[in-house]
Amino acid sequence: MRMRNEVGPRDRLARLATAALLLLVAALALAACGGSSSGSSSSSTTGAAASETETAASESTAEAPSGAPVKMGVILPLSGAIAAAGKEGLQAIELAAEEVNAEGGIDGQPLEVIAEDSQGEVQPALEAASKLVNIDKVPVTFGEYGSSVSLPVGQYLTKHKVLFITPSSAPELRDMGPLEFGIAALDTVTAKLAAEDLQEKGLEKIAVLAPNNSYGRYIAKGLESTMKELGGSVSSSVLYQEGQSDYRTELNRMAESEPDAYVYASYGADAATINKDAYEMGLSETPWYGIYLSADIAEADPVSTNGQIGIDQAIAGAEGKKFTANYEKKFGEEPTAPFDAYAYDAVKTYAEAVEIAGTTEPTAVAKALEGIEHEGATGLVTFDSDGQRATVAFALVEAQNGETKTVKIINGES
Amino acid sequence: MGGALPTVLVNTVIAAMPLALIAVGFNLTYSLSGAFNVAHIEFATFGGVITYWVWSATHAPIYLAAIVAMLAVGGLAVLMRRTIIARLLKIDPVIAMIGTFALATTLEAFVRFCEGSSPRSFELPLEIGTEVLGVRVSPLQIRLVVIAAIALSLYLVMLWTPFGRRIRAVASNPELAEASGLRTGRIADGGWFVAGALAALAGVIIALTGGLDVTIVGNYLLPAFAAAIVGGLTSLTGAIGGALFVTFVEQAAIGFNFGSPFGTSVQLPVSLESAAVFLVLVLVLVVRPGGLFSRRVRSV
Repeated sequence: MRMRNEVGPRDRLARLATAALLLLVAALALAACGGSSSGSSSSSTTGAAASETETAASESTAEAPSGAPVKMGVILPLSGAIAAAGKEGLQAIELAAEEVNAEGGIDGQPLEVIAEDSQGEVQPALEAASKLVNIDKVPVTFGEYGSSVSLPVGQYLTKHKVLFITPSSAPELRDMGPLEFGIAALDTVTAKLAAEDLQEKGLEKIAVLAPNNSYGRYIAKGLESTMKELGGSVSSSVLYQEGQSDYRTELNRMAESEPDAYVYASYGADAATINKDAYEMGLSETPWYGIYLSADIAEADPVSTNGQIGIDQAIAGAEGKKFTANYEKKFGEEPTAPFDAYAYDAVKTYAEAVEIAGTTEPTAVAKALEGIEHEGATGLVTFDSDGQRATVAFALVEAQNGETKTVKIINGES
Repeated sequence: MGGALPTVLVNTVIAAMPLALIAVGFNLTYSLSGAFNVAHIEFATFGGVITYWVWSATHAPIYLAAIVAMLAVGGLAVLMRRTIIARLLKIDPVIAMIGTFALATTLEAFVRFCEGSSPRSFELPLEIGTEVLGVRVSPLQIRLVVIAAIALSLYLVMLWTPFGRRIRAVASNPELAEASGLRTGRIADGGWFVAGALAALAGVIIALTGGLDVTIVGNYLLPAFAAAIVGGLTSLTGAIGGALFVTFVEQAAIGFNFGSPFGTSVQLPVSLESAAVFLVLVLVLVVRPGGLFSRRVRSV
């Protein structure tokens, strides 16, 4: 009798009833939150977006693309800490595909975007890549911001003879072989330009804060070597663990080294927490310099980032103006993530290369890309012998009310 | 910048609070039911998420939303014990542990599904901090530390009420308690409710400081285990000391300049922060297997 209270034997009916009750509760809970959720399944929404793109194109042009579609795989973080940037990147890609299709597609073939969610992590990204290769059989994939995700994904894709165009920036990309093309500046280039700019502004002694991943390490290393070369110094270099609820200890350590400026390369929720903690600790009285400043401040409270300076990928020239205007017209807001324009340029450059090659066969398109000169939203798109972007336009920027304002455009070379 | 020690101490107290709230409940349920409940960390996740849901849906003050969340999560803990964990424990403790791991994964997937796993924040106004022992601390952080300390004190007081005495009886010797006529199931329910509510409060604190993000709460799992084990798994109060100790090691490892007595600068890379915690955990387990505060040598 006593046993009953804890885990006593029950008859099967009661057990079945409990199981049924649990299932019911789970179903109700899922239904309840399904109603309020903004939806996180990627492929279905983008499938719809892609077909929408096609119909929009066929309505607006004389020569509607009618051939078999050219499939382009996209792997971006559509959920997770940097989901906001991923979603914007996907919108830029959809915009580019729509424009390509509005002008008759690629030799009459419409461009179809198949987007997959990487969740910003390696495993889901590889699963997405495997799906794109085996089920969708795409000839090209654009993907991932994070270098730690892009490297394995790129290796998988190029091994399976899929052309890989990436906005990520790890110097290891140079060794990935002829099917890989980097559309963005490598971290080493960005860090060097930032260090030169810091020196020019008289900020000689800097404290560096960056995530403990491929991106963070290359930025920190690049800043340190260029600062030293130019006679400055790095008083403290902190590679933080991502996903913490506060960064006070890290910031304290930097503050104790009494730098002329805090230089940070962060993004997503971590960047918001870092800015909040720094503001509360009174560290914002010292200059803050952001690498890819728009990513650093995107999710932060504007109060905590006002007056920050930094370097960012530039949206430049006539193509850049066109991109910004069309993006705003289509989505009702300006592009804010630094990689939006890279994503846009990647699609346009690819479309041009396919037209030159006359086929979507990856090796032939790679050949065409090697010699391409595409006037893009991020400046002239050309690739060096390792398939990396040869010159990139950068902007020196300032943060005002949560937005970046361009002060000056400079050019970086790989 | 006034010295490293005050900084480390202040940061330790701030960072240890959510950890203590999670670990103390973990040990409570472990003592009552013998379940190594990996899904315990999800009580914190749900605490933050439910608070956010209530707050964003009704625009009620955050503290009211937090109370609703604590009650709801306490109920969830009781439900979880009755329907799943008690059954699994009848099979085998190891099976039960793996079962709770599966449960944790399921609950987390549920939250990710609902929240789309994009981080959200409560959009509290920013305030420049005030000085405590020469260290700048924001008013919100002070408030949260005070609230956590009150919750932990109430928990300690609760252990000395008649209800708490029954909890201690069941925790120290379930068979004897059962034989003495205590309704152990009811008492276990009460303990699980308290444990769930405390973890939910930790989740609220984490969400208010670092934003609402499943990943951030998940990163508390291993340090919480460390705090629970260092404090003594079967101790109902040791986890508070365990949390303070573990956090102090973490903060000291990266906050101190170990070269300063010798006039140089020797600092550990920040990326070794978590390694330091687990090194200490292993050392404690070797030297004092029953936890840092146990008086007895382990008898098997």
